[in-house]
Amino acid sequence: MFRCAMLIFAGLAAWLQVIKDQPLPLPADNAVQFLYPAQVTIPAKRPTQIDLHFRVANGLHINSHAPTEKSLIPARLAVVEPPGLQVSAVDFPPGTDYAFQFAPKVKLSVYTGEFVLHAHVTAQPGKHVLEGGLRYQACDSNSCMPPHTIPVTVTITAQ
Amino acid sequence: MEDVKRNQWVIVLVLAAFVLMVWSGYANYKRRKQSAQHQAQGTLVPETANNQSVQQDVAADEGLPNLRGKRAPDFSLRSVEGKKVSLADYKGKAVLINFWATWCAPCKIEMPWLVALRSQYAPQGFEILGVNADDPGTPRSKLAKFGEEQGLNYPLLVGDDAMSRKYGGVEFLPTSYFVGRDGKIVAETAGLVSKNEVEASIKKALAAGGN
Repeated sequence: MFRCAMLIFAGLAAWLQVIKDQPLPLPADNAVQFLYPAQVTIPAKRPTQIDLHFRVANGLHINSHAPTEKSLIPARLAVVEPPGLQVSAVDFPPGTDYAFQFAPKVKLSVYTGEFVLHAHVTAQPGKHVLEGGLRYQACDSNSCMPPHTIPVTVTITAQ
Repeated sequence: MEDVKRNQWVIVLVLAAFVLMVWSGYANYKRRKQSAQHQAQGTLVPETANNQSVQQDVAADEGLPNLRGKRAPDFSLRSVEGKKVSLADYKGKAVLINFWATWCAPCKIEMPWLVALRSQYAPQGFEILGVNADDPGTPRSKLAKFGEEQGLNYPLLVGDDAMSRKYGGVEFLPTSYFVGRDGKIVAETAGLVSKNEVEASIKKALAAGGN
């Protein structure tokens, strides 16, 4: 029993060291989350739409795919097409208007809360892993964070 | 007797492990809470001898490194025109070090204010240094063009990691440090604040260490 307790104690001490040294994630890392789907089954050899769900963290917004000014960084999805899978297009929803407190007349086009991208894919029979990244630039009500990319991975089974 | 002693040790160890877990959980929660507060709205608190400790707390809440009252870290950067510019070049002047990026919408909102305030207070010995925080590979010509489009009348400098680290890493834009004539930081803000607040800090910087 004594040995068992010592082992537990040593394990806890090690765990404590691990969480103490773990770097805190930068806020930009957490601004947007890919929700689902992690995997999907679609008909083979037929153009199909896959809806990709994302969520912007509370109190934050990101520029939409079509910002109101060219200097602003749009939300973009870059994907790598594996053999046997084609992504012909990705549709972005329109943004909603947003204005900062000190400039109510300057309207921005943004995404807040949950938003959905529609990926148009055609797949050969079999299992494919669609990998990509959503690049975005997030702000809160008075400041902005550097652009960031989060991974998007969907396992597609075509049959 | 041996068994009783051993059991006592076990109880002590388990209790110690429990205390450690609770403490580490609390410490972790505190760190994460502080990180989340980086997004808190930047607010300026008038500096008086009485509220200095309050100001330090505000700086911590804003996620700023709390440089108020300390000498502004010196730096040497290239301007978008390629000229070497150091903070030391502005010795004796009040300086606003303003971190910005071309993609930062609130930065663009405050730029016309900065232009107007710079024109107003430059004769009294005030200057703004706009430190860019775009990707390091961004061409200087692009930054210069952006400055022209915005009508900026103050030096635009190409920032780098080493410089921003001196100012706490600058995770949020805009971030501003107001340096008094004596070279000490009198105010710092993370995020967009009102033009009046910016002006109040400029006046404070002009008054600090003045003749």
